[in-house]
Amino acid sequence: MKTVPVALPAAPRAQVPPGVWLLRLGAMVLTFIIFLIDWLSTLDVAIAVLYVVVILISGDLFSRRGVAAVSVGCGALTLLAYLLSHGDAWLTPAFARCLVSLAAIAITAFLALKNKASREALQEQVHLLHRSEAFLAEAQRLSQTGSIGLKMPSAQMYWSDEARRIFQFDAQMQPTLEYMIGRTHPDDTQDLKSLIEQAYARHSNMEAEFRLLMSDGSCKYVRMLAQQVKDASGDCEYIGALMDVTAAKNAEDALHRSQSQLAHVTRVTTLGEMAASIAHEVNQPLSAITTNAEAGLRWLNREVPDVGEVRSAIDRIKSEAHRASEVIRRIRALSRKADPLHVPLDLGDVLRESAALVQREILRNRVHLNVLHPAGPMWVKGDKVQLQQVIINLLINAVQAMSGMQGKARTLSAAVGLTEGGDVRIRVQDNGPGVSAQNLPSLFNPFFTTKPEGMGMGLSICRSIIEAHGGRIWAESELGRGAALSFSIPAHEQARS
Amino acid sequence: MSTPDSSPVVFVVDDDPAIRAGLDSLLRSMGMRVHAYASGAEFLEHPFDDSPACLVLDVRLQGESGLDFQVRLADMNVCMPIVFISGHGDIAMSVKAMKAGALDFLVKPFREQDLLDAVAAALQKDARRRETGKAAAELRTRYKALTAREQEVMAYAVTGLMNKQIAAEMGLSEITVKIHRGHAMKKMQARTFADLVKMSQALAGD
Repeated sequence: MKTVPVALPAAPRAQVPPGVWLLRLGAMVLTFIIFLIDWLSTLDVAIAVLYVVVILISGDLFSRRGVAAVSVGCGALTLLAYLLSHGDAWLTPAFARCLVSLAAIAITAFLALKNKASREALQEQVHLLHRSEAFLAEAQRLSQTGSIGLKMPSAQMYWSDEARRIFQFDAQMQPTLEYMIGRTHPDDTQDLKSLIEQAYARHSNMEAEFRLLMSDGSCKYVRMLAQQVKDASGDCEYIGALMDVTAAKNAEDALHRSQSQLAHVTRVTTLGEMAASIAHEVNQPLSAITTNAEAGLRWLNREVPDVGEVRSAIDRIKSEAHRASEVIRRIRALSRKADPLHVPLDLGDVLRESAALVQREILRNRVHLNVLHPAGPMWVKGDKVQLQQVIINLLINAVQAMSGMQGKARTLSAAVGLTEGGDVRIRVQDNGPGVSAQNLPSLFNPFFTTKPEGMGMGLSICRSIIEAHGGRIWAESELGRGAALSFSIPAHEQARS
Repeated sequence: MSTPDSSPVVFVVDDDPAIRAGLDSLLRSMGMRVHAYASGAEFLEHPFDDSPACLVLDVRLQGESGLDFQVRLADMNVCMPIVFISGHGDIAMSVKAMKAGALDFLVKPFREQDLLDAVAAALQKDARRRETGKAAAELRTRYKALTAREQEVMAYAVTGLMNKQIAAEMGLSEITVKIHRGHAMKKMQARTFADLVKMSQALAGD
C-alpha cells in the first residue's frame, strides 16, 4: 500500500528564526535612537510618542509577555529621558508632552496586546483545523473513503485527495462531472447520469453503487452517499462520501461462489446418501417378501400342501408389504418437512435472478445468453427457490449441451411469455446438438442421463417441482438444431389485477 | 455327539425377523432341518451335531458383522461352509468373504433357486469333507491297533525294502519279519501291498 506523507503544521512555539532576531535587534536600535533624540534634542515635540512604532513592531516579534515588557520599558525610557533633560521640574509643558507620550504608549500597548491575543487564538484555531484535516485525510486513506462536494446549479466540484485517488485523477486536474462519467463503467454510466439528474432536481439524499473502469482495464466498485446542504443564498451543495468497496465486493463474490458450490455439493451428497439409505430400507422388506412368497409356493406345491406354513408365509408377506409402504410414507413425510413457500412472484424477475446466478458459468463456456421478457410483470404463485432451481437446471443443461460445439456461435435464449391457455411459460432454447427422438420421451424420467457423470435426477426433479406448482414441463428438439425446454405454470390472477 | 437324525442341517443367522422366518420356511419346505438365529452369538450358544451342515449368514448384522463372525468361526476351528447374503452388492465385501473361504455371496433380493443351489452345494461339500474326515479317523484307529514292531516293519516295508533287508536292519530273522508284515497288512485291512503304501501316505499327510 502506498503511504502518503501528511504535512502537519509546525508547532506554535518553534525555534525562533534568525530573521526575527535581526528584527528584534533593529527594534532595540530604534528604541535607543528615540531615547537619544528624546533626551538630547531641544525640540519641543513629544518625541517619545515614536515609541509606539517600537511597540507595534514588537507585536510581531515577541510573545504577549514580551510586548508588555517592551511597553513598560518604553514608558520607563520616556520618564528617564524627561528626568535627564528636565530634571524634577513638574507642571511644565515638557512634562505635559511626556504625559501625552506615556498615554500614547499605554494605549498602543493595550491595543497591541489585544491584537496579539486574538491573533494567537486564530492561529490556534488554524492549527486545530490543520490537524483535523490531516486526521480526515488519513482516515479517508485508511478507509478508502473520499469526499466529493458538488455545488448546484453551477456544478462546481470539490474533491478530496482520496476521492481523486479512487478515481485515479491526478492532483493538478480539476475533476468535473464529465470526467466522473468518463471513468464510470459503460454499463453503469446510465445509473450515474440519472443520479446527476436527481441532483439537478434537488433530491435531498442520494445513494448509489457503480463500477469504475480504470485506464489499465481493471474494475472498481464504488459506493456513494450524498446529502444536500443548503446555504443562505438558496444555492445547495451536495456533500458526498465515496467509498471504494472493491475488496469487499470481491470477497462477497468469492463467498457467494463457494456457497453455491457448497449448496450443490451438499445437495448431491445428501441425495446420494438418502438414495443409499432408502434403497436399503426398501430392499429389506422386498427381499423378505420374495423369500416368503417362494417358501409359501413351495409349501403349496408339495404333494400334500401345508396350509399352515402357507398361511404364516402370507402373513409375513403382508406385514412386510406394510413395512415397505411405511418406509415410503416416512420419506414422504420427510420431504414435506421442507414445505415450499408459495407466494406471488414475477416469473420474469425469477428468470433474471436465475440468469444472474449462473452468468459466470455461461460466460465461462462462451455462451451468448439472451433473456427476453415482456415489459410488465408475469405473476405466478410459487416457491422462488424451487423455480430458480428449475430455471438454473435448464440453463446449465443447455450450456453443457453446447459445450462440445466448435465453429459455431453458442446461443442460448430464455424467454418468458404466455401460453395460448393464459399460463405463464418459460422457454429455454439452445442451438446445441439437440436430443434424438428416441431419447425425447424419457428425458424427464428419473435416472435417465446422457452425461457420463450425470445422475439423471435433474430434469426429473424439475418435473416434480413444476407439477407441484400445477404446471407442466416439456421438451422439443430437432436433432442437430438444438433443443427447447419449456415449462408453464398457471398465472396468478389476484396479483395481476 | 451324534443324534439319531443325521439329515443335513442348515443354520441361518440374520437379524431381520421376516427374512429369517422366510428363509427358515423356505429351507424347511425343501425338507431340510433349519436352525435360525438373530446373531452369531446366539448361534454359538446352541450345540451343533455331526450331521452335514452349512451356514447362511447375513453380512450386515447388528453388533458383530457377518464378516467378523466368519473370522471368529475360523479361529474356533469350525469349518462349516458359509453362504453369505447381503443387502448391498459391495464388491470389496464379497472379495473379503470369498477369500476367507465363503462358498457363495448372494445379494438381496436374490432368486430363491440360487440360494437353494448354494445351500445344496455347501451341504454336499460339508458331507464330502466329513466323509474324508471319517475315513482318515478310521485309518488312524487301525494303525494304532498295530504293535510297535508291526508299525516299524510297516514303515520299512513301504519304503520298498525287502524282508531280508528289514530283518538285517532290525536284527530279526526273515521269517519273523514276514509274520509281522502279514499282521500289519491284515490289521490295516490292506488287500494289496499298494493299498498299504497309500494308507501310509494318507496317515503321513494327516
